[in-house]
Amino acid sequence: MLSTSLLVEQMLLGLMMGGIYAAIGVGLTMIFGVMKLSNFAHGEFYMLGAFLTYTLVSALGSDPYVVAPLAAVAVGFLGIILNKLVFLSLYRELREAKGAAAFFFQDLRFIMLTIGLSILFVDLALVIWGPIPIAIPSALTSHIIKLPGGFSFSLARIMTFFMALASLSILYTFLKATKTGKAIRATAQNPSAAALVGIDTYRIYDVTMLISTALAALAGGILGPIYNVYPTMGLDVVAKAFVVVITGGMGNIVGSILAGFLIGLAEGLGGVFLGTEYRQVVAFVIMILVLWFRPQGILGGRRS
Amino acid sequence: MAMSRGLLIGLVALIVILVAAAAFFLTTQPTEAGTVKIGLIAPLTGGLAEHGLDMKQAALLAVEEINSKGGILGKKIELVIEDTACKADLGTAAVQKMITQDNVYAIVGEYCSTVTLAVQPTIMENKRLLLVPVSVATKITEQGYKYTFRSCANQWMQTTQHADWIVEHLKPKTAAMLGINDDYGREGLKLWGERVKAKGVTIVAEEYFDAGTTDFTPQLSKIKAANPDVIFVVANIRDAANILKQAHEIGLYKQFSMLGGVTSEEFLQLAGDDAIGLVHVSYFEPTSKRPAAQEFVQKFVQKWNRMPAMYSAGVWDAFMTLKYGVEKAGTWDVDKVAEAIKTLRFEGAQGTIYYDEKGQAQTKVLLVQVHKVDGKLKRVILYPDSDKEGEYIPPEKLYGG
Amino acid sequence: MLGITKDLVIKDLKYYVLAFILLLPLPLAGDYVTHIAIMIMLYSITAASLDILVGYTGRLSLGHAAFYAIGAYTSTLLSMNLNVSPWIGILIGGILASSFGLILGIPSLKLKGPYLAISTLGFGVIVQLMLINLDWLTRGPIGIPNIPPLPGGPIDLRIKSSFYYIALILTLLSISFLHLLTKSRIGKILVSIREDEDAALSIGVNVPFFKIFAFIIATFFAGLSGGLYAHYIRYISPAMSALSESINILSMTIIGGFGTLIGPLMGAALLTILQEVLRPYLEYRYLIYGGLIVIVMKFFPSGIYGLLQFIIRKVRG
Repeated sequence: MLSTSLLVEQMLLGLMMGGIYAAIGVGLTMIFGVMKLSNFAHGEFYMLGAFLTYTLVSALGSDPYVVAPLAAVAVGFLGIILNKLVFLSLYRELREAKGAAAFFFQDLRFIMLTIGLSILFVDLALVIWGPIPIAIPSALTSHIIKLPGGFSFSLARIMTFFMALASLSILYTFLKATKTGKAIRATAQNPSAAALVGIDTYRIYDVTMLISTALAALAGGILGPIYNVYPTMGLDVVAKAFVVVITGGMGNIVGSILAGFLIGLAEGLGGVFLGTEYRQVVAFVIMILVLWFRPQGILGGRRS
Repeated sequence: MAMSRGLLIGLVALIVILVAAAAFFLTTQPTEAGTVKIGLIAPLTGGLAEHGLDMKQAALLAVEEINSKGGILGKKIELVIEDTACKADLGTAAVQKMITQDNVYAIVGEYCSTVTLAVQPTIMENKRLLLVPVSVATKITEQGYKYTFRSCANQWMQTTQHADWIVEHLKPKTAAMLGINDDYGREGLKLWGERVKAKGVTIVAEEYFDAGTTDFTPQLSKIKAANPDVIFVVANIRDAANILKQAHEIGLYKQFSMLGGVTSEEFLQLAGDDAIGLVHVSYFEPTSKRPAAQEFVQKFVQKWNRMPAMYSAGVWDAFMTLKYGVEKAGTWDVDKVAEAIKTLRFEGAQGTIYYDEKGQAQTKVLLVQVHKVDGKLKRVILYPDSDKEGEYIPPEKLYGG
Repeated sequence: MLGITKDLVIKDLKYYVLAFILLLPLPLAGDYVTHIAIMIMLYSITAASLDILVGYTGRLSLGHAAFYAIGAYTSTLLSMNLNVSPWIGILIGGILASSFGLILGIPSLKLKGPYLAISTLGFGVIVQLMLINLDWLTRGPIGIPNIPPLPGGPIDLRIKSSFYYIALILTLLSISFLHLLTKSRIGKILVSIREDEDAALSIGVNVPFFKIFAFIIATFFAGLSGGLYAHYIRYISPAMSALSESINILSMTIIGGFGTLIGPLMGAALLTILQEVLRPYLEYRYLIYGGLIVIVMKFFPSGIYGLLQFIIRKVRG
């Protein structure tokens, strides 16, 4: 018994979730596109954003939707610090390395290093904030908006969706219109050429890292009131983030945004037709099919 | 290559043997004369760390309590705690270490049924007592192991008593089920579903979610479309809170009902007002007026400055079982103690504790509903009549239409 | 033809025999140490097999635990449902695992670097989800307890010290086989693929064939060790195929030193021992583990083996 209203409701929910997938995926794809880095610790920035938002809310007493952007910026700076401390020397070695073996070698190194960071951050959160899941209180969760057709969503969920959408639009404009944005795109396309025309590629890496981690952190902060906050929450999203990135085309920002919504939608529909325990499988099967038959993603990204 | 790899293998073997010897000598813990070691395995890291904490705090409290009263048969208890992160191989290594290096007398644990099942053979083969304080998988006490005892209600007990109450008091015609896609969820849904079906209820939806899911609206919206009279959910605290919140968000206001896992203050905090009206199982209520329960609660609050969760009560009763069992047997001989435990009957934190032939404690299961009393959320005991504190309030009264 | 001469085999044989003799008295240190040693050996086989794929051929895989799990489940289900002897069951487990390796290997041929890594990650997760959901076959998330032990005739192989010797022999055999492989012409071909695929192609190497070959060999041994694990621990669950397990195995390979075969053995030993040694530090354990991975990757990317070689070279002057 498949009613239209069930279908529509699932699709709306899927799209809303898709906005979040897009926000997290975009950051990941930017890091890959610009810095050629597969950041397996990306989920941890999402998690840190949520925890930081909670800490700020407790300290300042304000609403998480106001405070989340602040937490996001803070995490962004953490990203830059990481860049300088840990990744910078690796970029230099990568630049000077030659041949496929060197590329592989550096690539593997980055992946393992970010995996190590991920393990470290999860435990750090456990030590600092403890294992008990935390609810971030927000006035918006109790306001239910009733839409025509019998659908109702909390103001918090709608706010989350709009904030995700807003940040994605801001990012898009930034990349298209501003000087730094264009520099980022240039570096992603061809780092040596970019360096030749005078772009400070290391500064661009810092900016990219800032944007990427801040976006993930923002997603964590605005989701906090709807879901709960716990140290392993990043691990639960990072695999999904990779699905989004691959499907959209690695390095392709618009692709990731579209893929985010697509995956959200597909999950929702898959849940209706296949049974909800297969929802996760749907996302991964899509990803593997994309990898096997169209590795550049639906919109075409960069190949390694 | 500066050195033949074959030579390196030889070198590695040499190092290994040296390390093994070192490990043996460094990690074998001597037991002081006059103390007995008891091991606790729990998920202290990982996604379930909060429950591991409940268990650890209760264990420390119990050991302190036992030692302050002179220990067991004149010997003090030393607690050895190991983390399993809810992983079978970490659990097995931990248990192996406890048996070989620490020479523990008995082991209390675990939370995850998968870990308990994995470590059972090792513990049984080494003739140590295993006291299970939390794992609910019915299989654990169905395998015929002489030295396994479970101090909490198992899933069959919880689920069937719960199902019976729901059918009798709520008289639903249809029901929907939502569970976590693991052993706990699947067994729970299977048992509950079979029980209510046998009593004439039609199951109109059966949904699962994977661990780590934060968005339950897909499953909930399907359930909403099926329009059930009652919704049975098997989930851990964090997921349960989200499920209730999101259900109300999409306009799903039917009677929700859950198993014992949500019996904790943290759940009420996480779920907030969305928990009002929820009916669930509880093995232990800190508001219970029974003196044994009160004693446990007071001591726990005094030491840890928080209200004990259900799992803590299970751990406390497990340690008390051990104490009384050894004292009744009058000896540390494991076979005699196992026999003695089966004849025990004492007032524990969870209620009157006595064990059946399979080593399963026959604790009474409580049914509670969350009400708002004087502006605060409170679990009100509905069943059994001996502990009853209030009346059931149906969702129509709580939410209107 | 394969470039393996009798001298080559004999040269290292004496070290394997030496290792065997040295490791004989280990069970005297007690059951706990023996258990750790057995786990190290099982992980060694898995990590070394992964090294063939990742280290030698340069194909990054984040789903290796899936094959370990497939081997374990195959052997378990065969021995429990069809009364197949676990010895044969383990072998079939390896074969089935490598069949899946073939299935994964073929479409992955044109993928490289992170794309390959992520597709293997997806595969590992799908295997785990299937193990959980196909519960009519796999008994679902609760896993399968009471797996029969390896039959040892008059010897009870449930006793840890007895099992230790079986594991020791099987591990040395597996490692020596893989070792021989890496020294043969095949090994050199795999390395050439890692170094420069196009160059290898241009000198006539059948690159696709050897990529798949690497996958099959690596997954076969992973399946074998999975089967061994099943009949030792005698309990398995879908968690064996989890991403964290694959990462665990990869960490051993990389931290030990990829592309060296012996490095992964050291990695397996180090990480397993570390996990036990850090027990008193419970909550901080993963901080140290994660930090270790970061430090090794940043400063000693060739792993412990590389570090050792560096030190030896310095000492030799």
